[in-house]
Amino acid sequence: MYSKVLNKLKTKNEYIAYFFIFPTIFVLLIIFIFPMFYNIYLSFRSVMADFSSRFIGLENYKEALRDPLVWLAFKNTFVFTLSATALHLLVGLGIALFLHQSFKGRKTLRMIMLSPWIVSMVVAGSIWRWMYDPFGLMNETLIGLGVIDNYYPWLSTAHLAMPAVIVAYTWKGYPFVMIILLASLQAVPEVEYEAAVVDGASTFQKFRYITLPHIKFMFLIAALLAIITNFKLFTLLRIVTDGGPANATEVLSLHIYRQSFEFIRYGYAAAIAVLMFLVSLGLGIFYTKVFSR
Amino acid sequence: MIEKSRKTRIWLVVLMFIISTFGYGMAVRAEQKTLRWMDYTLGEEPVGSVLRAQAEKFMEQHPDIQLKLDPVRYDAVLTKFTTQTAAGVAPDIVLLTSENIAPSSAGLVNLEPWIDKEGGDKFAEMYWEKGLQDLSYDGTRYAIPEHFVIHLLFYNTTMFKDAALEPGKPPKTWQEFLTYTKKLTVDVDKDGLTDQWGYGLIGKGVGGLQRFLPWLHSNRASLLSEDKTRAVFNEPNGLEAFKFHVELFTKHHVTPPGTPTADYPTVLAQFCQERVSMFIGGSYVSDIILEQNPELEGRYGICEIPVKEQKAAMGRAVGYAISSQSDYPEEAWEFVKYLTNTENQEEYFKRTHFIPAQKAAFDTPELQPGGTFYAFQEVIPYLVKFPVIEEWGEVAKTLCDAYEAALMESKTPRKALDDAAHVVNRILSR
Repeated sequence: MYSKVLNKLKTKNEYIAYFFIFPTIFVLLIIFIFPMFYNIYLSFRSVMADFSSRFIGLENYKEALRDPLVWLAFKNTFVFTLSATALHLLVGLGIALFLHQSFKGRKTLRMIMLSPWIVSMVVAGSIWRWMYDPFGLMNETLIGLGVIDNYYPWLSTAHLAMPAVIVAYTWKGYPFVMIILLASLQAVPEVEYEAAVVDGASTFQKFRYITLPHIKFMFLIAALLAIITNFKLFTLLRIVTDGGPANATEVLSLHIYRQSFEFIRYGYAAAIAVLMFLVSLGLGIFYTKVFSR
Repeated sequence: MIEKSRKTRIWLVVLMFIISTFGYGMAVRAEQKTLRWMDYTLGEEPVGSVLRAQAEKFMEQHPDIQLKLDPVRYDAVLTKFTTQTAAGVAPDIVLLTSENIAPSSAGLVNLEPWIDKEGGDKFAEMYWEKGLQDLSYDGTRYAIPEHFVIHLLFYNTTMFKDAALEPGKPPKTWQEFLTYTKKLTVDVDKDGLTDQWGYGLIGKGVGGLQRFLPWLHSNRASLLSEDKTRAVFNEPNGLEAFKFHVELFTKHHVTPPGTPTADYPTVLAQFCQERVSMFIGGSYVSDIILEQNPELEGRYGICEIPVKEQKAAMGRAVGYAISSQSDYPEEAWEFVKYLTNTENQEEYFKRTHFIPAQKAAFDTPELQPGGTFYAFQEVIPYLVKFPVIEEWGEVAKTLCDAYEAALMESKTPRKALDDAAHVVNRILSR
């Protein structure tokens, strides 16, 4: 009888549990699952401005794979993602290690170092775009310090535009990695550092043999999250360079947006989006397989 | 039981309240017709204030019509209109430039029957023919012109005097223009850095392409063939015009650093800050110049674009179209007619200096010989504009990329144009 009551309670609890998660599932269906499948559906069609469409099979995919701009966008996306992720991790880790030390004003400095994260992406992009202007703060400061002797066109030179955007995005994005690693550093037992000091370990040895192993798991999580976010970044690039100059910073997210909403080619844009999804899925699977060991 | 009956009464009251509110809302909606009006000039001043005042007056005259204003950014109009059309929530009235008519046409009302009802040719004759032509696609008129956007050369007369150039004699030919820009590119404060340039060249986006177009036509070249099926901008005359324009930056250095990514607001600011001596802008820019730098009053002039083989000026009509999804097309038509009538056109020009589309509105002194804006009227016979094709967005982007690549010297002008022609021909043959 006791087990019957328990079973009844368990079923009732299950219903209650489903009741609570149902709104989330419903929202996910509306804003994620349905649009994803609708996008796949559109990718096989030629869609007009009034959204009438006809089935064209794999034509959109064939065109995308033949389009040099799509390949350029893929290349730019990889360059941006890998560079931005590496810098986020390096800068984030460096600042986290620094802020993990004990010193006066540490709490205030932690808040200040978090401030780029609070600023919206549009505001950050506008600030950096202004700073990179030939007559902006960057050039005026560097000319004043004697580092350069003329106005540098940061955003209108093909080989400088991408690094310029990456630097801007590193400033915006490092706090996310910093906060994850800082939390992870708090969990490293102090007694291990004390033992290492007694054994005569150097700072680098302490970092290599104590700190790194403890934060490795969170480091990999931060890296995965950074890769996912950076791969699909849109706003900052739209504001700072809008894919220019001459497509030097044109990434997939911008290219899909342009095909959909500027060129009114919804079906073609949907096909590129599906290709982007497949690549990012592949990356995610590869990453989890390699680093799950 | 008493408790149950009390609960039932409370629920009944709540239900009645909901039904009556909903019913009242429906009744109000049934009485009033709401027109949503999408217009990129609503968010700009002083245009926005003029239009809002006109809208208020219209609503006073038509108490059954409620206007809902929807200001959007200039470069977002086509995107917003087409996506809202696709979603079935298009605005009733939208302000469109001529190059946006073709891509939007599937969602617009054919205005021919409406124009016929107003008297056909008699109605159309009130407007400059070019205005109605600009806003047509495939022989169908889709919008009534509100104003023209015409670009001419603005120049700083003080800088001219300082460079020993006569302010009353602005450059008339390409060679003169090049000579002037070189003389006007100087290191004013003698610190070893050039801080004043002869010309503000817009390298980025469609704004740059708009300002390059008259130079192309002045050399008897054009973007596309007559039948709009292939690119012709890379033919010899087109290449010559392109090279001349690009070399202002790459060879002669008479434009500021950052030119490849300089957009219209940047170059306008450079002119207002007196960093550049000349730039190409529209009639409406006069008010913005004085707002940004009141000291420029009386210190700048307006002249035609320098000529190579023939006169040309960039200009196209901007007008109001009605969405095919509008629930109230008759009311929308009344509002469009109202906005573009002579009285409102005259006031619109007086307060904003956008060139009016109605002939009768040209009787104002500023547009007559000797008037400040007469030059804009003089060039109407020579106006050139972008081709009206559905694929204009893609073609424009391809040309802008070629322009940027040539300015950055990542491609020679020849290669940039040939590569662009190859892509444009592929787009047009789809």
